[in-house]
Amino acid sequence: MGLSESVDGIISEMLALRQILRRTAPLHRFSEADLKMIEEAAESCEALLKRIREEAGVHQP
Amino acid sequence: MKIPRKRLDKYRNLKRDFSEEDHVNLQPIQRGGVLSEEAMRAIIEFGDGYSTCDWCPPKSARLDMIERPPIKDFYVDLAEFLGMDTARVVTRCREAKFIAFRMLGQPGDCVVVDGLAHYSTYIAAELAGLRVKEVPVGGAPQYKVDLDAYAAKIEEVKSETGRLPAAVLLTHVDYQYGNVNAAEVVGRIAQDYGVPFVLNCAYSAGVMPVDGRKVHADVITGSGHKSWAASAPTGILALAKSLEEKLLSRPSVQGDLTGRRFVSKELALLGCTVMGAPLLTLIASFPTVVERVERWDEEVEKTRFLVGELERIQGVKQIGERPKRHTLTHFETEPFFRVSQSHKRKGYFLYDELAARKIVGIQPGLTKHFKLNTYGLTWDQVRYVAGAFLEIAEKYGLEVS
Repeated sequence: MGLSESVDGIISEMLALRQILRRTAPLHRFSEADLKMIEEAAESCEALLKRIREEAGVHQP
Repeated sequence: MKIPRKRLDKYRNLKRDFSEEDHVNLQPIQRGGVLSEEAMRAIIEFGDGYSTCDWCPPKSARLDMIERPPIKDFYVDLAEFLGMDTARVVTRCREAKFIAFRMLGQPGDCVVVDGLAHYSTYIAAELAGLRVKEVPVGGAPQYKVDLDAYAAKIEEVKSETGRLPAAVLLTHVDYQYGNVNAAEVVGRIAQDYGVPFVLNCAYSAGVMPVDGRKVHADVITGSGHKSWAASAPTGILALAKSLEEKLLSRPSVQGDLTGRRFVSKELALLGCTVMGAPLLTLIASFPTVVERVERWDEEVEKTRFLVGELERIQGVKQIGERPKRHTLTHFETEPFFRVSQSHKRKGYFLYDELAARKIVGIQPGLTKHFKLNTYGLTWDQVRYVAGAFLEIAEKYGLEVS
């Protein structure tokens, strides 16, 4: 997977989250299914961010 | 000229005042155009200017012939979905109406339209050189178009001009009351007279089932940004086979020096029409749209629920046909007007109260009557809106049953 694919992956997860926000506005009372999706999206983004750092050669502190 | 950097700052980081992520938006013209997730992805992918043209020109140098992305297939599927034979995407519904009027009529001809037609119908007719003859609309509280009167109007045009009208147009669902007209009644009349029938589906196709063949439509016009979960500007022009040659005729112009001709293009479309992000959002939302029209009955059910709840406020009345058969709804709200008379914010109090509850889309300043649209809202959101109106009514001492 290249850098641009990782970036696409994060954008894609965020767009999915936006749909949840739109569906639940303005109170954002999430269902179990929504919470599961949010959790999975966050996990996926964390993995993609890690990969971006590695592939871009960002030096970890 | 160089523009100072400071002056340019307002063009950066553009944001809406009310995001769909944090508000319930009841704006009557916006609900059907809220993007699908796939359309949001398409905007990012195809936002660059000519990004749809990576594989252009195809064998025939025309937008509707492009196979990657699948524009060619989309046009075929779009026509089939509407029960028509051919479809094109243009900039707006009004452009589709203009093209139909321009290509069907001669200057001085008449077009017969319903008295609740959108202003753009009249302007399209004028630009096409046509005169407008209106079919009357019944009075309060239902404001129904007298569909049978189309026959009398056609006769009137015939006796006045010696010619049949160039076309008849019916607004399938009007913008004022959200009344759903029985298109097949006008379709049959037009067919009997041999006059082309243009059905304006700006508020119907894309949110509710529409079958052009069933209602004898020769032309269907639609709005992508109003009803197809697409970005503006996107309009739909769908045709019966019988009108294809007339409306999509090829240009005959030829350069007098170069001898250049452009016979592969379509004259009234001025060649390629909408491309890039708007077209791709329309295409990307198409699977969602095909599925969502099947759930139309539930959308109407939500609207009827909201009407029932708002009419618990004594004096609030939904106008237009009853029971509702569309999600665009017009209310007379005399009790809120009474409140506004003594409120320091006058007519803006209702807008303020709703905005404080993160509900937007009711026109600021209106309290005597207003329109809203619940299309695509969840049941929870519709209940939330109903609760907010009742809460505001009680806060100002209005009688709630």
